[in-house]
Amino acid sequence: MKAYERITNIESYKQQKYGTVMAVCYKPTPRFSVLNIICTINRSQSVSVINDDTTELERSFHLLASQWKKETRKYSTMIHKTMNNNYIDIMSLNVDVVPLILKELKKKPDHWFVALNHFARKLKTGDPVPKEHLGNIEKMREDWLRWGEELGYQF
Amino acid sequence: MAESIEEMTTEERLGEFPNLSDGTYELKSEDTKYYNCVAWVVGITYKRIDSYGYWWPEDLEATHTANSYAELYKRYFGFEICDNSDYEDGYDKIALYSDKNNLFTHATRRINNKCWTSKMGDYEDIEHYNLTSVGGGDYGKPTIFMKRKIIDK
Repeated sequence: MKAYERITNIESYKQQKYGTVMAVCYKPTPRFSVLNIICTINRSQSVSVINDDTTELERSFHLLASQWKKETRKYSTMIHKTMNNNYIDIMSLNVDVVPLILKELKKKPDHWFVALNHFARKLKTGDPVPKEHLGNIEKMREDWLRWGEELGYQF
Repeated sequence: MAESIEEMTTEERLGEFPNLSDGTYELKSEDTKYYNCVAWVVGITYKRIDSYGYWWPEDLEATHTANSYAELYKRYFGFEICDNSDYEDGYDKIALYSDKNNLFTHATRRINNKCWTSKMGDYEDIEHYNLTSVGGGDYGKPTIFMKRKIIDK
């Protein structure tokens, strides 16, 4: 099933091996329409998730991240880097994108801190960077990676 | 797209920096994100200075305009506003750029009577022979000039 299809005929899924579809959730986002079937009850009545949008989220994130880097490498200030539509769209993704950002940050330093701060506020954890580290990309990177590990993220 | 000016094709480079033609600049470092142009013009290479997201003095208003950065250079680095970019023996000179939205975009420092030095975003720092080489496109144009006496000379 393609992630961008909107299911209009739920009946068509009843014959599949997953059994009866319990719920279909359509989650629009500013740039992408992501369909997430929450779960089904199969013939033996056990519940399972038959689709989640992790893979689609990864694809979305990597596409946006790649475009963002390409379009903003010339800028010296975060105002310009974060006004970029791709960065704004990344911040519009759900918090499941956080480990993907942390994985990027672990690979090499980059200007992810404003986005991480945005998600930290959503998660109500606070910004882990002390004032004396501001501006030092390596120290800020360590602070955020430690924050992610302490929250139990795998990256 | 290349991650350094050195690796770019001419077309890519002029796409990023429309006036940075062959013969108008020389590369002087590796590409790095560890410092930006704001820090570079005052000799700082261990942190980024930025009115949003990185180091910025707490007592300084962050309007993200060249005026804000001029106040930074005045209060923290000893510069005063002047009316031109001409070389003056015994003085450091910097130029601050603004884009069409009046947002600060770039700072460059005069090295001598021939050259300026600029950190180009996340790319390398370069030496260039005039202010227009790094202007145009998204960097806009120089809108504020500043100078400070070189104490050690």
